[in-house]
Amino acid sequence: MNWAFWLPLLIVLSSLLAALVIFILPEEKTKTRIGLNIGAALLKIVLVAIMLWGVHSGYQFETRLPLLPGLELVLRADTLAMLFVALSAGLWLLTTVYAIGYLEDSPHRSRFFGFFGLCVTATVGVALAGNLITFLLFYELLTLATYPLIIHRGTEAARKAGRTYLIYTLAGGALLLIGTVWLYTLTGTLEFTARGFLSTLDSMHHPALIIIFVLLITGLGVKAALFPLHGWLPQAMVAPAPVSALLHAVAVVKAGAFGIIRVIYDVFGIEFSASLGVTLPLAIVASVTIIYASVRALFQDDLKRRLAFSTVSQVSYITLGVAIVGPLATIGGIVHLVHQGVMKITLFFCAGNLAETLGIHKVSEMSGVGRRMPWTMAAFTIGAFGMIGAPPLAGFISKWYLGLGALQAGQDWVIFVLAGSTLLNAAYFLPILYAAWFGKSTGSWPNERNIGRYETSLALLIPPVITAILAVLLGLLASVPFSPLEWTRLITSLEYTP
Amino acid sequence: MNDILWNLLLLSVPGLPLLLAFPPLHSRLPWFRYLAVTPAIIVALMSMTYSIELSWLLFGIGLGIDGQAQLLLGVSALLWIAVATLFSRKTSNSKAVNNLISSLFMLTMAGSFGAILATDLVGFFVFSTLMGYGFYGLLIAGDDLHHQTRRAARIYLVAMIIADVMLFEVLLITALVTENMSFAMAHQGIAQSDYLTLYLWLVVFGFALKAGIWPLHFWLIAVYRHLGSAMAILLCGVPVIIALLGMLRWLPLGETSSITTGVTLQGIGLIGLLYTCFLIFFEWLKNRSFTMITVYTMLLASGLFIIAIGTGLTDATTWIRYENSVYYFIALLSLALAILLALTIRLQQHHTTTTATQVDDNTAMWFERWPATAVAWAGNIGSHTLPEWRSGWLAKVNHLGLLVCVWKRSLAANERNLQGWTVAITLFLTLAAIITLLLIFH
Repeated sequence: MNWAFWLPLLIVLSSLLAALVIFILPEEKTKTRIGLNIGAALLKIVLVAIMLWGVHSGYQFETRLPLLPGLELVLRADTLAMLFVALSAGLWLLTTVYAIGYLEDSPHRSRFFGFFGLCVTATVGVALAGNLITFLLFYELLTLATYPLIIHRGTEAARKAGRTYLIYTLAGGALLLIGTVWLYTLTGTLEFTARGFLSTLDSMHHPALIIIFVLLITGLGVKAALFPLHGWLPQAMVAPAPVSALLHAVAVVKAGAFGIIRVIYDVFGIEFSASLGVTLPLAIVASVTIIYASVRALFQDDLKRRLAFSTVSQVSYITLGVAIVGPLATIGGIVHLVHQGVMKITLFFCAGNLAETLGIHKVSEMSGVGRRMPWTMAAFTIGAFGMIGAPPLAGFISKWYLGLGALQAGQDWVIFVLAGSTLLNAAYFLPILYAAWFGKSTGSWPNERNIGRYETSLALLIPPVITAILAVLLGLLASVPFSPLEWTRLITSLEYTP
Repeated sequence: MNDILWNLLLLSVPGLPLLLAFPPLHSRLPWFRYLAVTPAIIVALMSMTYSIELSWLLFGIGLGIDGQAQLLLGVSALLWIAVATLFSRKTSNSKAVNNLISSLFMLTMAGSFGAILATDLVGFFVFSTLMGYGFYGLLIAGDDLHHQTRRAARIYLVAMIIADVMLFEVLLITALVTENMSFAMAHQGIAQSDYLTLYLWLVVFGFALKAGIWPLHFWLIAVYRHLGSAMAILLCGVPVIIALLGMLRWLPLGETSSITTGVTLQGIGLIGLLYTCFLIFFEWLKNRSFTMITVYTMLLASGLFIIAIGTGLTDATTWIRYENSVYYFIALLSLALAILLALTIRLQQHHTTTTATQVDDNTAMWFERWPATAVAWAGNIGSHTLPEWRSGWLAKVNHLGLLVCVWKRSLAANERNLQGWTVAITLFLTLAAIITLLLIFH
């Protein structure tokens, strides 16, 4: 067996096959469904771990399958892909455990977990895509796989949110397709290459390349929730908590942000992008998004909506990091892909716990909840402080490199954006923590349910506690080998000319 | 003692309180607050200079102990023991609230010890931030909290966050000019960079905000007005002192001179001193709040501290000569203020009850009574025989005289209260003086 060919394919197929089997499983086959879900997630983690070790040791993993005349479906494991794949695989396991607990008595579980598996398949495909056309295919598959998850509850609000989501993301996909086709007609290749493949093009094509850049980034910016393309994200909060967690931390917004990284670094090349003059406007858009979304988050009483606007703001850190031309800022941006994922999934898990156990959906209902659900709120506190950028949590590492990178690149204005964003993050997260820990509890909650022996069921409690611990460890142990930070250093060293 | 034991001991100074912050641990241990202080006391009493480099932690954090850190650690440990004793009485009916208070207490302690031992900027920042948030939690934890206390705590939090953002920018600037973030290397790097002036002002502003130094003292006064004795001692002994220490550690004092910045700081310190003197005078006349006067005394001391810092920035060689005395100043300041606060809060409580029951005090000597008599006489003349504008003026003087009388009475009342506490105060002060001397000799 040729592992170099099969391993990327197996990683994609591990969740796809499980998803297809789950689709046809009868609703009452709960144990089989759980076994398939957990088994596939564990298998994927094992395969990813093998591939991670292989990539670190210098092995090349690549799957090439003919797709269209002159175009191939390429799955390739490079260092950047591995970062996203590892994140997706790790968080998928935790989200699956959480979703099993969350949907314990809900209808349509087979449908839900089927699309859930498809969604992860698409995300891993996006991560491993070795060229723009493969990326586009999985990117669109992701749109279609997440739509049924958003409208899973079947309410009018859910259907409306789903429609909005489809309109936004399909329009974005169309722009991405136009940009991709135009690029192919110009260059005849769509292969992702370290430092890009466009710098050798004649300068007469530069205006066209600028338009293509705008098309691609706008297409990707919809999923990455760049201002003013972010409108779908707060509406999609009607989805169940595991879906929100998946959308915000692992799949959809991350796919958009990851796409932006790919386009800037492996299609255009960061140095060529800077020479075209497209990085500064992108950095400005990202900065506006960071501040705008933070201000919007301040005024949201609905907890999930507040978290949604926080996502809009935080994901733009990634875009900002890659748009500031410099290795340190790149480290900050790319490492935030992982850090934001871990912290945000913690927050959404906790929000889900509050909703499921006590019926709490609003910040104004959270007074004293820390005494009723201390573990959940402890995890939430860590996630929130991480988002603020308090040391030594994961968010601090990201902000450190973003700030340092901005200074190194001579873009001092970014420091004010980071400082403003930190203050705003504190302004919308700390009141939640204050209410939860120090607010007076009335003792009665909107809709309290007794789930399990502890403050809630273990399936709901363990995932946020694990991700909260991860958020601490990612910060504290940032410098140890194989940490996301060290891995990102490796990625960056390949993207910049020494 | 071998290196492994020293490493463990040094790590346990912030590590043990951090570990004991977990409710499942501290709720099972008796005397856990005192237990958490133990490693700090042991390290403070052992005369050895030692440091460890934790390269795997964050960007690489260093912890170390030298003469200056020993002194501060010892004094800090003493304060924590005193506060732990006071806190052991602060309990709530709710187990959850007690657990929360204990956890926050431990986090604050871990942060303060860690900041004292930190040998690099990042380590100091991490521990002082932990301490700051922990302290904020302690301010607002409890069952029946006055809304003014909550408001004051909010002001403290905002001040702390703004200060942290500034210090974070300082860290970035330092990381830009030097890869090694230890204090010594950072000072060298920043002294030779173009960012020196910006660095100096950001550090001064950031830590001045945290320490409540004039003119950034607004939060300190707001917070103090509504604090109990334990928290008041903790505030002056921990966040404020750690902020002053931060200024000493972060500024490249003795490494470089910046005359403009130094002189400006001296000026600010002097204005702060004068302003605080006025504050003390008027506070005494108006409200006679002993607690507030102690706070103003702290402001006065921080004004002196700023003058010293300004002098150090003006002349590096002078700083090198007198550097140690500034550390002693901080250590003694925290101890003295804690004792003063404990006494004044106690005395004020007695004073309130005494003045409520005792309206007239005829025990004053004749020479103590004459100013009031003279003022009263002048007031009478003014109101009956002189034109109205003058009578108003004399009425004010009369009012001032009455205030003097009240002042006199309160002093006399306090004297009596003090007599009741003579033995306790003498013992405590003697103990504190002996321990401080021991630490200085160490």
